[in-house]
Amino acid sequence: MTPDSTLRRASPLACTVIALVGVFVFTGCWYSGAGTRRDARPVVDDTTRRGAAHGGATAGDNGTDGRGQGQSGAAFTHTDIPRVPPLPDRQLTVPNVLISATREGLSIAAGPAVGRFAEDTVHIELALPHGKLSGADANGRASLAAHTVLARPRPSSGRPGLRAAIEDLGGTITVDVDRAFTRFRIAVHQQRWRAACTDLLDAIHATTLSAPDQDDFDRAQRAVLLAALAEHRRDATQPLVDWVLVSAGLGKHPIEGLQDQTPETVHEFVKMSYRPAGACLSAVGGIGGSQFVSTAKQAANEWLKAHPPAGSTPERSIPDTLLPGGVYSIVGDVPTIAMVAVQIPPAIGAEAAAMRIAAEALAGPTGRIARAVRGLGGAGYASRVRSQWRTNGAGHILVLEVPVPGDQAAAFTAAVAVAQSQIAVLPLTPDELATATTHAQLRLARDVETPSLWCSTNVQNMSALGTPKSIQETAAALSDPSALDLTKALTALGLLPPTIVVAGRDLPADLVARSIALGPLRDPDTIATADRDVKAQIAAGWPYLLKALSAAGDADVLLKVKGCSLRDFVQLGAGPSINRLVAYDRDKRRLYTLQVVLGTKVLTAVDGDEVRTSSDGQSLPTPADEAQSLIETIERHPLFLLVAAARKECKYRLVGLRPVEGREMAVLERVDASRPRVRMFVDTESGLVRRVQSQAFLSGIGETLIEESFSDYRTTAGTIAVRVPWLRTTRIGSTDLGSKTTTIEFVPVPPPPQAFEHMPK
Amino acid sequence: MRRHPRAQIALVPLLLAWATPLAAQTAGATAPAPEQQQQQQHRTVTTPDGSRFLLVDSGAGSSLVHWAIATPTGPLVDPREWPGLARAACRASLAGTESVGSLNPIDEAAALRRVEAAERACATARATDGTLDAERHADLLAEFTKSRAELAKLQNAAAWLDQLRAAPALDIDLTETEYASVLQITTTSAGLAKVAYMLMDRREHARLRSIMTDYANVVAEAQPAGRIADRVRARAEVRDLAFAGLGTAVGRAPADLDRAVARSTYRRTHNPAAAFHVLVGALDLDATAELLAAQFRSSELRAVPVPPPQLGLRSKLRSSTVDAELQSGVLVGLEAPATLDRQQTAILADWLANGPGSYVATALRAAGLVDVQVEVSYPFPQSASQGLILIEAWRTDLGAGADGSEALRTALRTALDNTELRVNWQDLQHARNRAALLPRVLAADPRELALRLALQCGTRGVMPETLIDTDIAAARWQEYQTWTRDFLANARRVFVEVRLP
Repeated sequence: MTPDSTLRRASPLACTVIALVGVFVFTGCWYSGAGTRRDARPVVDDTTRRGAAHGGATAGDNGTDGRGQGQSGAAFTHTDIPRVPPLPDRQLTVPNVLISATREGLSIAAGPAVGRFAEDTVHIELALPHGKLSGADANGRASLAAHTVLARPRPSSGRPGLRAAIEDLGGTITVDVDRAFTRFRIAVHQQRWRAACTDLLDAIHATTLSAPDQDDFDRAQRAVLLAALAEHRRDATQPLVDWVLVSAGLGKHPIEGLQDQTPETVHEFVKMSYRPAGACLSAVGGIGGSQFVSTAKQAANEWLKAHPPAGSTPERSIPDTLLPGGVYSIVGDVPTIAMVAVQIPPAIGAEAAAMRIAAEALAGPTGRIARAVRGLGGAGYASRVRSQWRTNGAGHILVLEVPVPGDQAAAFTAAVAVAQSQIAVLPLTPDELATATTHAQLRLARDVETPSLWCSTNVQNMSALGTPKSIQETAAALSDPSALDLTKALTALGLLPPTIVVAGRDLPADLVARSIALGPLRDPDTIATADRDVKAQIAAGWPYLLKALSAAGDADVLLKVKGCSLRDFVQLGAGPSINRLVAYDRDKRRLYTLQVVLGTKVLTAVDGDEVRTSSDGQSLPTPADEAQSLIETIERHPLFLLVAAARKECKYRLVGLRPVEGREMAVLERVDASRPRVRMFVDTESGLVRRVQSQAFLSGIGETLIEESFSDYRTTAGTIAVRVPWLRTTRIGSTDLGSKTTTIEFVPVPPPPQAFEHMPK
Repeated sequence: MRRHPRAQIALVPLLLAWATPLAAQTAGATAPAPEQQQQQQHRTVTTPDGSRFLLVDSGAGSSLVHWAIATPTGPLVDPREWPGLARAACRASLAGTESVGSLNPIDEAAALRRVEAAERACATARATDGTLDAERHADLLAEFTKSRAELAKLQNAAAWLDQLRAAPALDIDLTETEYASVLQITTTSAGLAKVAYMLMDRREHARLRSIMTDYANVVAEAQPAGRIADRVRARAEVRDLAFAGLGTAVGRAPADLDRAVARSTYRRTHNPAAAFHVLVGALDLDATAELLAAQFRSSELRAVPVPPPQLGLRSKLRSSTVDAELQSGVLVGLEAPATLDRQQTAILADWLANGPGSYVATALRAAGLVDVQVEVSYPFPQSASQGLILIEAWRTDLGAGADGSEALRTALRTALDNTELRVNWQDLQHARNRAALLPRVLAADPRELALRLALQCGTRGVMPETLIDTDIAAARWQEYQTWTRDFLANARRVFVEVRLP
C-alpha cells in the first residue's frame, strides 16, 4: 500500500485529527503551549519558571474563547495557584419601606437599611424639585439657595446654621444640585436622627420666610466658591465633568453666576422651589418607619401650613432631565481623560430592569462602548476603564470614564458614536446579556445595601414614579432576564445621543474645534479669573475688545453702522440651496427677510415686537417670541456685537484665553443678565472675531448652544468701510445635525425706509 | 482620592465599637469556641502563605462582599531613582498576568525581551549623547517603535479585569493615598472563590504590561500645576520636616525606567506580609476563613513586612518657606504630646481647625484675616504610625501678595502659643461628638468601611487587636481645659510658610 492510497482511504475525520495534531505540534499550541512545551518556553523571570514548573495546566473557568474580547489564554494557568470551590450565594433582601404623603404634596418614605453597621446610623434625604421653575442651575442660583440654607442661622428658633447644627451632632450634611433637584443629604448617628430631621425641616421653612441678610448671603456665596475650589483642588477634571453631566452644561458655572445674584433673587427662588408639593423626604437606617413619618410630619408642620394643600394627588413636577448630547472639550493641564454619559430614562419594575441591563450592555465596564474603546489603544489605558452610576434628576446616568492618550481622543469619540448607534441594531449575544444582567444585579444590590444610596434610590423612585416599592419588582425581574423586553430599552438608549466629555492637556486642535468647548474653568488659572469680580474681568477684557474694534474698523466707524443689507446663501450637500435676503434697521428695530427654497418664497417682517410671516401670499402662524429670536440671530453677527460694544450698550468680560485651531483666542462674554449668553472668541493676534458662541431656543430642540465660526474677512466698499466675514459655519451644539457653511454678502448700511413698507399681511 | 473632608479626621479611633470581642481573638486559623462563633462579627486570619485578612460579617440581609487590599506605596518603598514606581506597579498589575491577558505567552515573552533590549539601547544612547536625536538615532527609535507595536499586538490588557468582572465583580477601583494603594472589589459570596483566585494570580504572576504608561502617568501626576501644586509642595515640605526626607520625591525627574526594577518593586510591595486584606459583607466567617486558607496557601514571594513611616520630630519647632505660584498660606504640623491618647488628639484636632467655627478660624478672624480657608487633617500622613495634626490656612483673596502669608503666620503662632486659653466646654463637646460619632456614620457604607479598615490596619501597622472602642466618653470642662493647655504648651510643631513672590 502506497502512502497515496493510504491517504485516499483514510476517512476525512482521521485526516482532520492528523492535521490538528500536526498544527499543535508545529505551533507549540498557542493557548496551552505553556504546559506542553515547558522546556522550550523562554523564561521570563523566576516566578514564571517556578510557576510553570509545577506542571499540568488546569483549564480556566472563564468561558472565553481565548481570542478577541476576554481573550486570555484560558487553558494556560498556573498550577501553583489552587482553585477552591465557591461558597453558596446569598440572596439580596430588599427591605420594606413605609410610604406616606401629606395633603401638601410632601412624600415621605422610611425603612430599615441592610447590614449590621447601617443600623447604627440614619440617612435622611430631602429632594426639592426646582427644574420646571427655574431651569437647571445655570446661573448658580439653586446652589446659592442651598448653601444659604446651610449657612444661615435661625434666630427665631435659636439654632445655628443647618450645617453647624448637623455637624455638632456628629453627623454630615451635603447638598447636591442637579439639573432638576436640590437634594439635602444627612447622615447622623442613630441616637441623633430626631434632632437632625427637625433641624433640616426647620431650616428649610426659615429660609422661605425672608430674604437672607447681606452677611448670610455673602457667607453662602463664599461657601459655594470654596466648595467648588476644594473640589477642583482634589481633582482638576472631575468637577468640570460633573458640571456638564449632572448640572447645566450649557449654562454658566455656579461660580460664574454668583455675581449675578442678590439676596432677593435667591429668596425668590427659595419661595418658588422649596415647597412641599413634589418634594420627597426619605430616611433609612436604625429607625422605625412610622416613627420617622410621624416625627417628620411634626417637624414639617410649620412649613406645610405655609403652603396650600396640593389636592388629593400629590403634585409631581418632573422636569426634563435629558442631558445635552454632544462632544464637550475642556482644555486643561491634566492628563487626558474621556467620559461618556448615557442617559437612562426613569422606569418602573420590569421596565427598569430592562433599562438597567440595556445600559450595562451599552456603557457598563465591559459593555459595547468600553470594548469599542479598547480596540483603539494598547495596554496603557485599557485596564483603567471605570463606570459609575449617578443620579440625574429623576433618572440615572451611567458614566464610563476612560483615560485616553491625547492623540486618540478623536478616535475615541468616533468609536463611542458607532457603538451607541449600533446598540439597537446589533442584538446582544448570550454572553453580553449574561454579563450585563450580572452587573445590573450587582449594581442594584449595591444600591440597596449601601444606606446612602438606598435612601437616594427611594427618593428617586418617589420623585419619578411615586413609589419606592418598584425596586422589589426590579430585583425580581432581574433574576429572569429572558422574560424582559430588552428591545424597547435598547432602542430608547440608541436614540439618545450620549454626552461625551474630553478633557486634558494634549487634545488635538481639530477635536477642540469641532466640539463644544468649555473654557471658563479649564484650569486653576481660569478659576482664578472667574474668582475675580466682574469689574476686574471687564478691565482684563478691554485690550482684546479694543483690538477687535480696531480690526473691524475702529470705534468711530462702527458708531456709524445703523443696520445692514445682506444676502446669504447656503448649499446643503446635494440638496436644495437656500437664498436669503435680509434688510435690518437696527435703530428702528426693523427686520425684513426673504428666503427662497425650491422656488418657495417666505417673507418675514419684524417691526418692533410685531412679527408676520407669509409664503406665496398666504399668512403663516408665527410664534409670539419670534421677533426677539430673529433680532437676536442677526445681532449675533460679529459686526453688530462690536457695534453694541462701541455704543456702550453692553460690556464684555474676559473669561479666559484658549487655543483654537492653532490660534490663541480671548474669550469675551457679554455682561448682561437679561439677555442670552454670548461669547466672542477674538484672535489675540489679528483682533478678528473668529467664533461666536451663544445660547438660543430652537423649536424642536430646546435651549441649546449655537456655535458660529467666521472666516474670509473682507473690507466692505462704500462710505462705511468695515471688515466683515464672508463665510460662516454654524454648529448646533446638542444635536447631530452637523454644520452648515453660509456665504454672506454684507453691506453695513440699512436699506431705505421704503424697503420695509411691504410687510406681509 | 475624593473623600468627605471630615473623613480625614479621627481615623485613628476607628469605628470598631463592635470590636470589643476582637481583642480576645488571635491571629491565625485557630477556631474559636462554638458559642463564641455565634457572636462573632469579625475575625483576623493569617493564611499559610502569611497573608493577613480581616473578615467582617455585616449580618443578615447582605448579599455582597467588599474586598479591599492595601499595599504600601510611596517614598518608603520606592527605589531612590524611581519615585512613584510602587504606585505605578500597583496600577500596572491590573493589566493582566502571565496566564491572563496574553494572546501567546511565549511570543509575548520574546517580544518583551526585544522591547527591553530596545529600551536599554535607547537609554544607553541617551546617557551617552545626552538626548535621543530623531535623525542620529533613527534606527534605535525605529526598532523601539517596531518592537513595542509587536508586543502590543500580543497583549490584551483588559482581559484580567474582564475575568475578574466575570467572577462577578463590580466597582473595581484603586484608591491611592500618600503611602498606600488600596484595590477595592465588590463581589458576591459565590464570587469570592474566583476573586481570590484572580488576586492570587495577580500577586504571583502579574506581568505589569502597562508599567511604562502607568509610570509616566504617575510622574506627570506628581507635577501638578497652579494652585494644586502649591498645596502638594507645601504638604511635601511638612512631610520632609517631620519625617526626614520623605517629602522630597515630589517633582524629581526619574531616570529611564528599568522593567526589572519595576518587577522587583512589585514583588516587594505585594508580598503576603506587606499586603493587608479586608473583607466586609455577606460572610460566613468559618467558611470564608477556610476558603482563604486553601487559596492563599503558598507564595513565590518572600514575606517581608513593610513598616509604616515613623514620626521623626525631634526639635520643638521647625520651620521653612516654600515659594507659591498662585496662593499663599501657612501649614502647621503638630505632634501631640505623649500624655494625650489618640482619641483626645482627634478631639483636639477637630476643635482646633475643623471649619469656620473652629478655634484657629475664629482666632484668624479676630486678627482681621477674613479671607482664609482653614482645614485640618489627622493623622497626617494617613499611613504614619503616629501622625501629625496638620492645619492648613490658605488665603482665598488671590490678590494678597508676599506679606499675606506673613500676617497669617504671625496670627497662627499667636493662636497656637496661647497657653492661657480658657476653652468653651460646648465647643469641645461638639468636637467630641464629631470625633466619636462621625467615624461610625461613615462606616455605614460597607465599601467605605472596608477601605478604612484596610488603610488603618494595612498601612499604619495598627492590627485590629490593638484598636480600642471609639465610644469616647464626654469629659468635664476641667479635663478639656487640661488637654488643651497641655497640647498647646507641649506639642512639637512644624511651620511651613507658602509665600507668593
